[in-house]
Amino acid sequence: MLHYAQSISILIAELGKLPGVGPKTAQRLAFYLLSVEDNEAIALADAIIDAKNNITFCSICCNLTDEDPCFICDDPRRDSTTICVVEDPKDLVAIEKTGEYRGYYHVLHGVISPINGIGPEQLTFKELLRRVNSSKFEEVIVAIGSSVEGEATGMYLAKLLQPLGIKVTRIAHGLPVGGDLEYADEVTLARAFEGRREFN
Amino acid sequence: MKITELQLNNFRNLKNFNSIIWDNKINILIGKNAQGKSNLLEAVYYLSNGKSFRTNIDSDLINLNDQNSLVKASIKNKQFQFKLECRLSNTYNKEFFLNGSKALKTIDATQYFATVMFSPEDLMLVKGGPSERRKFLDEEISQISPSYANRLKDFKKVLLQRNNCLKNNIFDDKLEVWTEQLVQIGSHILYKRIEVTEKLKPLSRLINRKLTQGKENLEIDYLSTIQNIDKRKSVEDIKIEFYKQLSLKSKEEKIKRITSLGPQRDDLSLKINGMDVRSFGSQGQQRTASLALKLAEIEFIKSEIGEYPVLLLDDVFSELDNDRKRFLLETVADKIQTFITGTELTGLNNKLIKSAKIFSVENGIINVY
Repeated sequence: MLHYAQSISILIAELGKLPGVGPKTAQRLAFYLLSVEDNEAIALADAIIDAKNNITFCSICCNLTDEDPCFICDDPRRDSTTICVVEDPKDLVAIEKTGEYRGYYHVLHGVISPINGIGPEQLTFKELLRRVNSSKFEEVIVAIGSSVEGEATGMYLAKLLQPLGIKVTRIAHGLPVGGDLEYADEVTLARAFEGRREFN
Repeated sequence: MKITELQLNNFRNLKNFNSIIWDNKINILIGKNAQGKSNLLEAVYYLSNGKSFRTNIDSDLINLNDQNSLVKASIKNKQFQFKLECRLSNTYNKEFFLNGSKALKTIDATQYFATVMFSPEDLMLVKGGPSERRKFLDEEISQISPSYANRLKDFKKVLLQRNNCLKNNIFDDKLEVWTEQLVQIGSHILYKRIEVTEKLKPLSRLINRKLTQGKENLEIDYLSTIQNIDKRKSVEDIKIEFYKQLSLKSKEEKIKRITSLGPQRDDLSLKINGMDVRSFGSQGQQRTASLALKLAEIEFIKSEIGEYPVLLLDDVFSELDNDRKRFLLETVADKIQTFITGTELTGLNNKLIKSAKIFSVENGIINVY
C-alpha cells in the first residue's frame, strides 16, 4: 500500500474494513471511485453521512429508522395484540416481505451468547418488557434462528414473559416449501418430524 | 468395502500420479522410516473421514513444494462402484467429489466410505485419560449417525456457553436457558453412547477371549457421571435424571464454576476379570484390550452398515506378539480389505506374504515390490 499516494492508501484501508471486502476488492473499489464523475462519488459519500446522521433506533421497537417512532410502530391498522421478536432488522424485513404478519415487531439486535459477553442486558429486553407491561399484547412470537444461541434467547424470553400471562410462541422449523424431501439434511428432517401435525 | 484404485498427487510426500491397483484383501507397504507409508494410510483415512488423524490443518497435507494436492479412489461397496475424490489447495477450501460431481458438504461424499484405523497410539485408548475413550465412542457413532455428529457439535457450543456463565457469575434464568439445552442435547448423546456401548460389549468380550485363548474376560461399561441411567432408560427418562442430578450440584457449580455433570465428563470402564485395565493391567493386557475394542468396532460397523469397512494398520506388527498377529490376520483374512505398513517383511509369516500384494514405499513413490 506504500506504493500509493497517501489519500489512495487511506481510501483502500477504509474500504477494506467493510464486511466481505478483502484487500484486492478494496483496491478495485478505490480505483473505481477515483475514475467516476465527481458528483457520483460525492453522492455516495453524502448517502453514507446522511444515513449515519439520520438513522436512529426506534424508541418503541428498536428497529433502525429515520423517524421516531418508525413507520411500523406508527401504523394504527396493525394488530395490537401480537408482537414478533426478531434478531436483527434484516429478519424483520424478511418477515415483512411475506405480507402474512400484521402485528408489531421488536428487534433484539443480537442473541444471548455469554462467550461473546452478550447477555440480556446488552440486548433490548428491557425495552420489550416495558412495552409488554404498558400495552395489551397477548402473544409474543419468537422468530429467531435455531442455533443454540437462538434457542437460548427464545427460552429466556419465555421465562421472562410467561409469568406475566403472555402467550409465547415460536415459528416452526422444518422443510422449505416446494423443497424435495431427499434434499433436506438430517437435522432439518428430524426437526420436521418432531413438529409434525395432524391433517385437518 | 474395497478400494480398487488409488491416485495420489502431492499428498504430503507422495507423488504417484498414476493409479495404483490394490489387492482386494491384504496390501503390505514396506519401506524405511520417513518414506511415506503412513502418509498413504492418512490419505485413505482422509478420504473416508474428511479429516486427518494427525493434524487439523489441511494445508499441512499438501506437499511443501506445491500448492495443490489430490487424492482420488475407486471404491466398491456391496451395491456400487464409485469414485471419490478430494482436492486440497492452499488457495481455496478442500473440495470433495463423488463420481465427479462436487459434494455440497464433505459428509455427502465421505459417508459412503468407512475405514477403521489401528495404530500403536491406540494403546492410549486403554492407557490414556477418559477423553480418549469418549473420542473413540464419539467418532464411531458419528460414522454411522450424522445426527449424532450434529448434536455433538451443538452440545460443545452449549457447554462452552454454560461454563462461561458459571465463570462470570451469571445465574438464575440466564443460566437456566443453557442448562435446559445441555440436558436436552446431552440426554440424546448419553442415550446413543449407552446403546452403542451395549452393542460393543459382547463383541469385545468375545474377541478378547479369542485373543487370550479364553483366559481373560473383558468387560466394557459406560461409566456416566449421572447415576441410575442404563440401557433400560429412554431419552425422556435420562433427561429427568440428568436434570435432577444437575440441579443438586448447583451449589458445587457456584464454587467450582464449571459444569459438574454430563457426557463431557463420562468414561468407558474397561475391566479384565473384574480388574480395571487402565490401573492394574499389564502392558500386554492393555494392548490386547485396545485391539479387541478396535476389532469390535469393525464388527459393529459391519452390523450397522451391512459390510466391513477398510482396515488401516499402521505399524502395528512391531507391537504385537506372534499369537496376536496370527489372530489379527485370521480375523481380517478373506473378508476385510486391509492396508498394513511395516519396515520389513521378516517376521511376517510366509502364508501372509504369499497371499498379500506387497508394495515398496521409497521417497514418496509407491511401487509393486
